[in-house]
Amino acid sequence: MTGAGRGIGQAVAERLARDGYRTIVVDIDREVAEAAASSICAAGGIAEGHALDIRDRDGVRALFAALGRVDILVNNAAIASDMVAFVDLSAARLRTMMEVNLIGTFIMSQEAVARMPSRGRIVNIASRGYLGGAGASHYVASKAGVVGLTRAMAIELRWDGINVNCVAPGMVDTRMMSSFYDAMRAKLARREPRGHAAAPSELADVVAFLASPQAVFVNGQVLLVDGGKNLGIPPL
Amino acid sequence: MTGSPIALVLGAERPFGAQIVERLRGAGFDLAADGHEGPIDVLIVNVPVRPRDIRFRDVTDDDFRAALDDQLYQVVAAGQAAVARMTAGGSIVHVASRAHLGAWGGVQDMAAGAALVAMGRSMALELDARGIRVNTLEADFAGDAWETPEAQAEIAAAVAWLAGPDSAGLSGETILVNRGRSLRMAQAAKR
Repeated sequence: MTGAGRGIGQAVAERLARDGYRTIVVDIDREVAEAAASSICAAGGIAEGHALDIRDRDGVRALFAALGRVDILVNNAAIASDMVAFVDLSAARLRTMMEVNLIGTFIMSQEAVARMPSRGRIVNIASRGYLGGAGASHYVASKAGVVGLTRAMAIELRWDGINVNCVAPGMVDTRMMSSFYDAMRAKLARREPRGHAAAPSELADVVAFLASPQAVFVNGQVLLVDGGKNLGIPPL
Repeated sequence: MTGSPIALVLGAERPFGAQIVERLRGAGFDLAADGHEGPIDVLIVNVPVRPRDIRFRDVTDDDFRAALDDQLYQVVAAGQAAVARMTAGGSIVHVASRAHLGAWGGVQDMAAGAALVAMGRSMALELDARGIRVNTLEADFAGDAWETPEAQAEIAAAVAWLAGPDSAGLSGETILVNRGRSLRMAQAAKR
């Protein structure tokens, strides 16, 4: 479970631990990874925290080697950013976004698959934004890349018995969202179909399903978890 | 607009490039030469990909970066440069392969292709205020048996249509031009 120290990742880690999985909490920030793992253990789960930059191929490989077998990988670690117009988007900014959100997800997945038994599951966290959005074209492209990777991996890995799916959340009440929109946050939340952002635990319920044996016939799919906002459903 | 509209075609040396250039000329466009710095009306970025026999476990980080360089970063840079030289009525067309749907082999191309489709949609949203349209045309993977002269001509015709005023109502779209091949799911599994 990457990006698991906070937000959606932390909620998913807590949920998977409650479902009985030994949960590896990975975050770029060691302190929050260890704190999240301790809190899972205090609640009776089994967890350990690890600091890791998902772009670091050697570091990722060393972690998986130490773990041995991995049954489920949830790729959640990602960066958002301040809004920037397409015409002002610098090459460096676009590259950084793709390196973390897409290549980092690829590196984690490739190293995990090498140690995953048949019936392994990978769940990638993309974003409703993959459908396109003004002012965040680099973020949008990175998340659409994750969706494309999900489909291609599902096609290739089916012979290994590994399912790969993707969840595309809308607005979720996390630190990333608050940094993304800041002052506009409350206003944007009121525009969501339910009049507020989703709680991270509501995303965790969906991820837990896709990670479970109940979802064995779901493969290569993108599940939009945004209250129907992508359909243009207005607030209640 | 006075005189013939001017089109800049990047990637003319790639598959379908020659047919696209010929078709645009036939449709009355002046083709901007390499290094041309004046205003343009149309930008075509031609980046179709060939199928690759690289298994998921064998793709390197550099393979992934090369796919993004080729199919995303340079397309974005070309679009940014073109927008500065375009006025209302301008049209940008990305010519890619059906990679965003996924296929067997070369996950880096599939991910980069999906990123490009979404980039095109974001560009269309943002550039609408300037009256510039952005669309994506996806052929099948280049270099296969399907790629007959007729099929190449069909792709070039669709590109010329997306470039010109007859498609004025269209922006942010992704059009698959492959005689319905992408509807046949088995095609994805074949590789």
